[in-house]
Amino acid sequence: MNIISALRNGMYRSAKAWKSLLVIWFFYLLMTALLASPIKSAFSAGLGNSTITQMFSKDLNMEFLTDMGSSFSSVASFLRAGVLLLIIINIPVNAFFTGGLFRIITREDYSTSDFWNGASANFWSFLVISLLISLMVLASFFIFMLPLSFLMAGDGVSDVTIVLAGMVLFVLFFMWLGVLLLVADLSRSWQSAFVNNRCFAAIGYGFRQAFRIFFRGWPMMLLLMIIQCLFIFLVAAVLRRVAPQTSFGVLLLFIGSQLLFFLRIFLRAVRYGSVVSLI
Amino acid sequence: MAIHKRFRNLKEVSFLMLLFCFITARLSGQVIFPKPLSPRTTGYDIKAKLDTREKKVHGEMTAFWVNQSGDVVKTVRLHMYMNAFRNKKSTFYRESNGSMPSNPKDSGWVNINIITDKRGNDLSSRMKFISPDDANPYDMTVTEIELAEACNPGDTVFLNIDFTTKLPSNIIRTGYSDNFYFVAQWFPKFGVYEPAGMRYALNGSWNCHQFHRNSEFYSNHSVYDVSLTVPSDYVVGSGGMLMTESTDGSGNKTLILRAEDIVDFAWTAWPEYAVFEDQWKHVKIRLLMPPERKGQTKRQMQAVKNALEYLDEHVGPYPWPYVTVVDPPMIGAGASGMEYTTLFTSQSSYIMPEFIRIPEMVTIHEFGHSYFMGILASNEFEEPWLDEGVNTYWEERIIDHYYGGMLGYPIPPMPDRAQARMSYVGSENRQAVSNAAHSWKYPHSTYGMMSYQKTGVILQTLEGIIGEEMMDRAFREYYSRWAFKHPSGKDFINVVNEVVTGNNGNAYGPDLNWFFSQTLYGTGICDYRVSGLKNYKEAGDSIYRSVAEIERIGEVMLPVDILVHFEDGKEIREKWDGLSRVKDFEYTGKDRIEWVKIDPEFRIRLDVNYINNSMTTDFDDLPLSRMRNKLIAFLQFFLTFFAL
Repeated sequence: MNIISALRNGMYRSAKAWKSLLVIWFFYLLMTALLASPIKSAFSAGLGNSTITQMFSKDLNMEFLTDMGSSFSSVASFLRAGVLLLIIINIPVNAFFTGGLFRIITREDYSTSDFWNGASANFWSFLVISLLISLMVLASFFIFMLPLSFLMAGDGVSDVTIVLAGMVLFVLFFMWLGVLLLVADLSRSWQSAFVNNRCFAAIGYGFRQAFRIFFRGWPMMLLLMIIQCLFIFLVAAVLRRVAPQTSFGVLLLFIGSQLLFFLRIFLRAVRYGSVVSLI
Repeated sequence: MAIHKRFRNLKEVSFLMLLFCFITARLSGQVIFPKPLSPRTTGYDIKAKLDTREKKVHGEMTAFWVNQSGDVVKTVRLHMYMNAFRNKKSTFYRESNGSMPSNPKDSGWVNINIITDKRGNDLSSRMKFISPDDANPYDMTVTEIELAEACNPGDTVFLNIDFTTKLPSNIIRTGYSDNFYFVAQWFPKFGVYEPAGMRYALNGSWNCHQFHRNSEFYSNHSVYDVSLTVPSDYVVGSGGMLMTESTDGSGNKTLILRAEDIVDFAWTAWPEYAVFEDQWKHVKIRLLMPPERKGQTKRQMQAVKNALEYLDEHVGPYPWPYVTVVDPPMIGAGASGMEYTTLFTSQSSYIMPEFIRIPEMVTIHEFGHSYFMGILASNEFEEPWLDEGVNTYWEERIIDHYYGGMLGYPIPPMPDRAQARMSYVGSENRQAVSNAAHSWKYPHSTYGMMSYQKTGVILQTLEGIIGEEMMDRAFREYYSRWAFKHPSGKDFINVVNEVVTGNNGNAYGPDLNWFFSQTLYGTGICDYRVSGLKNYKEAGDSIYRSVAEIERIGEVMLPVDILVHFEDGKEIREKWDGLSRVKDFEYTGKDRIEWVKIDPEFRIRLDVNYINNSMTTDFDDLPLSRMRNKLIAFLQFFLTFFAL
């Protein structure tokens, strides 16, 4: 199958899995709201009955917020700790849900019961695969950035050399990341076909298959990564500027941002489906 | 003594006197300005050669100091700033808490090899290092020379000095890195003699402090004639005007530079500088920067022009026909962000997005120092707030005026003046010391916050009380009265008092000393709050008795406005002198108070908590709901970024 067909097939499979995507969206909403809502309450408590919120018409005014003094520091600490906790929790949660997604996308059985069965059956193997590939990504990042750190520490190196070198190295890392993500997806699609935990064999399969279908798989992966990055930048730019001044506007902001996030999950599912279609 | 020896001595003395006369004639000659701008108490004729192999500057100097006091002066004191980098025992190094390199190759120093007076008397045995600030016997940044003949009022001391300066490799304002040189505080330099009555001097004496980690400088407005010999391929920038340039055929070139009425002479040399020039009215702007940063040229030039225009309009004219801007390369970053009157250093990089205004902020700030300490040559050792804080205030005005009040950093972007207030309000040590302290005595890393940000906020607050127009009048008068002199903080305050009372009578009291004594010279904080908002109604009655309860929590007492808003939209503005601890405002009427605000325009920038300055019966948490929804979306996208 060629890249376009794989992408089309991936979109079809992802669209069919919409109920499972909704479940994933809901859990992410729950996790993040459990952190964001107390922060909102903490700010409300810290601001008391002040009219200072009139100064936040466009954006939160950091100058005034930091007047909260130690309360602000407490909220900031809570946010930092909460984000760290979320990152940690996200690892098994993501492994769980991708297990379910790969099961239904691979077998093309889109029932929610199959989603949950696949999620629980593949949990440990997907967790191991995710952790191992993540370690490879982290190690690769340091290896790619090492020459840059040598350059920055060197004498007589101009800033333009450092900037250009940094850009080149980052582009190279991005391209290598495409390979690792391809391996990860292929490993997981292979594992989802089995009941037993065969994660290391799956990773081996992932590497073999990645290089077997390299000239279709890798460009497709890069294309999907670029689309996702552009999408995220666009969302960030829009959300940054949007500042509704009415309750209805704030509600629309919530609905709109959640729709965008659902689209994000959908795009990721398209990636999984496209890779599965290529095999 | 045999007659032939006496005759030979007489010939030598006559020759030296003729030489000195020639030099002083050259030093006092008018080249840049038809009339001197300053008393020109000191002058320096320096012939210097850069030794790129040894990383040294070899210099021969004739310097003069005119005794413009009524005192008979028997000693002179010279700054030997470069000795701060000589070893770990210097005051500078001790106060750096061991952060200086220990390799001797990296050290910096200045040695006087030969020193004679105008009669040829050898003064080297009359020299000794002193430590007037901390009695550190190892510090060699101030030397005192006992004159062979006392200097009477009106007389001039001439010193003929052969010196060698070794540049440090770790650039802290001055030094070298690879083939980049920034040469500042590089020659023996007269301190300032303050007769009784000048600034805070009770008796006539030399004001010549040691070089501290947290201090800058203090010197007279001088004339400089500098001959610089450097390798031919080096591009030179300096605080002087280029008179002539010649090559000697042996791979070197010599630049003859002249500067008049400036307090400091610094220069830089690097083969890779690209040079750009522009013009603002009578001022030629010369910009030296690494060639790969040429994309930053336009914004750097515009920043200088904006500063020139704004300060010219609001403070006073910039008199020199030139200014040199140096944007050092990364290897010379230690020299960035510093000022030498007609030369200053900025900071940018190859990629610097337009919305991040760090280069403009640094450029405008460092240019501003040509006024605050260049023209108005205050003592940076003893009153750092008078140049750094005053300059910070003007930098904020210029940035916020020309760049839409958005610095671009930190995230989210905010006005420059807001960033200064945040630094002050957020500092845990803001009450540790007052601005009366000398720069090296600020404890617990408070020097920066106190000298720069707190003073900037104090002046913002003063502006909030008396108005921008009155601030401008005060500064114009300060400039007019004290340009090319040595004003003290007391002198600045006296000018403000005079201008404000002259224009406003007793509207702010007989003077503004009550303001400065609390803010500049006190350690208290300013904090007013609305402690209560009450609306009482008797049963069956249609009239409300409403009370706005205001409290002063902080020690600082400043006049504030109170704005009371009723449910029917009516507003009443009250004025309160802010002196008592508690103040209630009572009203009776058909409508209740909906909200109360102290200082509704946020003019009292010193108030450390704007949140408690207001109270409402109907709290609006819509912005917080908006923030929560955006935070949820941000966290969701952030988490999926970490998922494969």
